[in-house]
Amino acid sequence: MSADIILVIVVGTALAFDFTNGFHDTANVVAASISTRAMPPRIAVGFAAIFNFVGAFLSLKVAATVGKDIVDSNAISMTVVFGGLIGAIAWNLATWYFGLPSSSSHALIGGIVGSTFAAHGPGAILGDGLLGKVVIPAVIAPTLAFVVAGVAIIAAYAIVAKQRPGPVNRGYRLGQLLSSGLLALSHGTNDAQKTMGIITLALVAHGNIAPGNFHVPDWVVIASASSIALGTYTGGWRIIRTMGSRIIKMDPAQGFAAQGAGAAVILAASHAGYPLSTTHVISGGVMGAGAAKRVSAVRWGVAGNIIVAWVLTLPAAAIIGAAIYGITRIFGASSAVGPVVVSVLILGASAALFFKRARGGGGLEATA
Amino acid sequence: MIVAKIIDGHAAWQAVWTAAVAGVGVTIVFSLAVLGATRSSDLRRDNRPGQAVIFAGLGFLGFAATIAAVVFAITLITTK
Repeated sequence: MSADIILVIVVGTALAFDFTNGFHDTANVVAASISTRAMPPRIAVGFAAIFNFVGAFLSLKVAATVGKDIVDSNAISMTVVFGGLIGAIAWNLATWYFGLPSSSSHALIGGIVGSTFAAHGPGAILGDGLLGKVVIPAVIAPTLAFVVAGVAIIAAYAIVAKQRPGPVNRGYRLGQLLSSGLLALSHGTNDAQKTMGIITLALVAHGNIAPGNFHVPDWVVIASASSIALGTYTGGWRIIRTMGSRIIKMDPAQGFAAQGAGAAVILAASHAGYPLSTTHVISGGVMGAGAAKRVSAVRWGVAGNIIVAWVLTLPAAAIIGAAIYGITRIFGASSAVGPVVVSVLILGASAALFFKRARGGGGLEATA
Repeated sequence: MIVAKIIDGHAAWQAVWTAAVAGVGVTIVFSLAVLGATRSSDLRRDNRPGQAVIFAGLGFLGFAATIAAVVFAITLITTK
């Protein structure tokens, strides 16, 4: 009975994380379209939510990576998954509060790694998988997006040079409908799968799925897709502002190049099964599209804050995940009391943050 | 050497070059579409219908290539 209650709490928490993932990462998908006026904000967010939902059904390779290649799935218990999820949600809320586009994916992976480490020690962490599928791609992907967006915008400016800016801008705004849709699709494909992987891990731990027969049930796909789409529609306006206008002032061609580069990198990585941070990729693309026009066009102070948040995400979420696991263990390894108490506390903390945020507190500013 | 052991070099390299070609390629073909449409409209206004048709063709081809690239990307993801 207690195990069933914990499973319900874990699935609910995973879907809550998926919601915050969509909410937090809306900015990745829509910021360029909004700041270049390719689409009105509400339409852009609704458009992104629909494509996020569809994208979640396209592939399950990333879900398999999260479920099998980061930690030993035999070492996973539901309280471990719960600790990891709370670590990720807490970090997501903190970075949202400060308007920083950090990675929900790395927060989730960091939380699970920390929680597993606290429960079973370093032997349960699959170091090769963590390094090869998460850490190395985390360095390569934004760099690649930076270079691709930079080369792409230089080529675009060369092609449309000497044309009247009005029609050219209108053309690229139209193109952003396409690049934005593709980006939302790739975001849904890569990000919703992480939650699917985590819920499936919980089902393995609960005994619903045999460890040797890892597969994602249909209801998990549908619930995860719906949750990320709902979160996306709700929209994290604070991060949209940072991504859309605080890194660079984008023109429509730059918006198209950044979104196109981002979508290309995310889709190629999803195809290979790498659980990339879409946030890192899009930020890299935006910076590349800005720096290629003029290095000083990028507000490197804001970019620096973002990079610090990137570096901190994995260890910070891991520490919180480990701490949450420790707290739930105080109430007993298989008791539902720990997860219930932590859930109530995190709900209270979230409400307090939202309330403070609604009153206008807590923005993080950086010098240019 | 250690990196080569823990990362699937073939898959990683394939992801890198695919992303690079697709990201730059799509922007180039779409820029050709924008160029074609803009020039075609200007030339039509200047009463040069022959050249306007050529640029309209370029615009159409660029747009068709962009759509084809997007469809190919989605197909690639759904068929693996």
